[in-house]
Amino acid sequence: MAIRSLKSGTFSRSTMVGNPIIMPGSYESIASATGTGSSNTITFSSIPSTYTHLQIRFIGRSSTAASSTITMSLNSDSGSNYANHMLYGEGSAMYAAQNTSQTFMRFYGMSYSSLTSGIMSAHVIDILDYANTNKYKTTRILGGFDANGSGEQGLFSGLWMSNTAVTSINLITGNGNWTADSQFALYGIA
Amino acid sequence: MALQLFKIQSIEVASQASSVAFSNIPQGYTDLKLVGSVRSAVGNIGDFIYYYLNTPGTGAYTQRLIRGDGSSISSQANSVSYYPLQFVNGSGSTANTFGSFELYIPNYTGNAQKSFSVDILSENNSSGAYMDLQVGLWNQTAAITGMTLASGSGLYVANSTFTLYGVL
Repeated sequence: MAIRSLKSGTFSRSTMVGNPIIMPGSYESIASATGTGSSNTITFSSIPSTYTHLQIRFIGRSSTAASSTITMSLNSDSGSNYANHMLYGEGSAMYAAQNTSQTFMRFYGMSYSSLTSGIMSAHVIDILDYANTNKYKTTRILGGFDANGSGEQGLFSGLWMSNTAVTSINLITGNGNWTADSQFALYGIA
Repeated sequence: MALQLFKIQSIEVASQASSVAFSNIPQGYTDLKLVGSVRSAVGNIGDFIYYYLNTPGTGAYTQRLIRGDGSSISSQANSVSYYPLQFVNGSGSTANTFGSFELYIPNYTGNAQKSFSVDILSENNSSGAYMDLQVGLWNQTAAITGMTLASGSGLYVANSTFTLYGVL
């Protein structure tokens, strides 16, 4: 990977003496995943604790013909240890919602199979300080889809009431399965 | 060239602190990205942050936002001498819970007034958690060389973190 000197602006592949001062980037790919069409779950596991923050970026579509939620759990915790809040709209109306003491986090904006082929939702999920054992884990999610006549998009938050470092993440469709063109990427941020 | 993110500085509050500041921000990036995981010592569910660019008191800020609180939606337009970064968790919210935000400033070294976007939320295993989508404007044309974030209530609690990134 080429790295760029912020002093001179030149790119270099070497940290040998004599080169301009260089800095590694802070955004690193950890893992990626693809839907199969036959599973409702995407899992990132064995997440190292060596980064500061995590980010998931995905495009997704459910095999179900109607709107569906996306649920997320951390470290496979299925206890009533989650809460979430939502601010979202669908082009003609806006909504706010909340769920407390849940067995998972949930958010909206999932594309689904009765929409035009190829229309995917796009979401970015941030989990700051995911390995900090002195705080509960707050997720911040931005995303949705536009289907050229319909759509759903919003800002969603999730809370996992645990001080444990995040080592695995499950993303689950509320109905149906992730289609085979759904793609997910997990990044670690220094 | 693919988007590249470089950590400039990270600040973690070890014990209670009234403010944090980033200074001497390098000018070699294209954009700036600031993220925060923050809890305030105020006894309310939420608290806000006084956000300043460069020297506090320089210039003026305007803000537009849409907000949800779990049951209702609102919008605001504000014009003040600081940028109200709101809301992060206060100590009246569920214990150990920290708010989360991202503030993105494109073209921070340019010679136009500085526009930026914010998504910010507090979380709470109860009603009253706030979440905003915001846009802000600082009416100065100087390059951004520093920023200050002062707690609205007076104190950030330990384990609050702020991380500044340069984006190429």
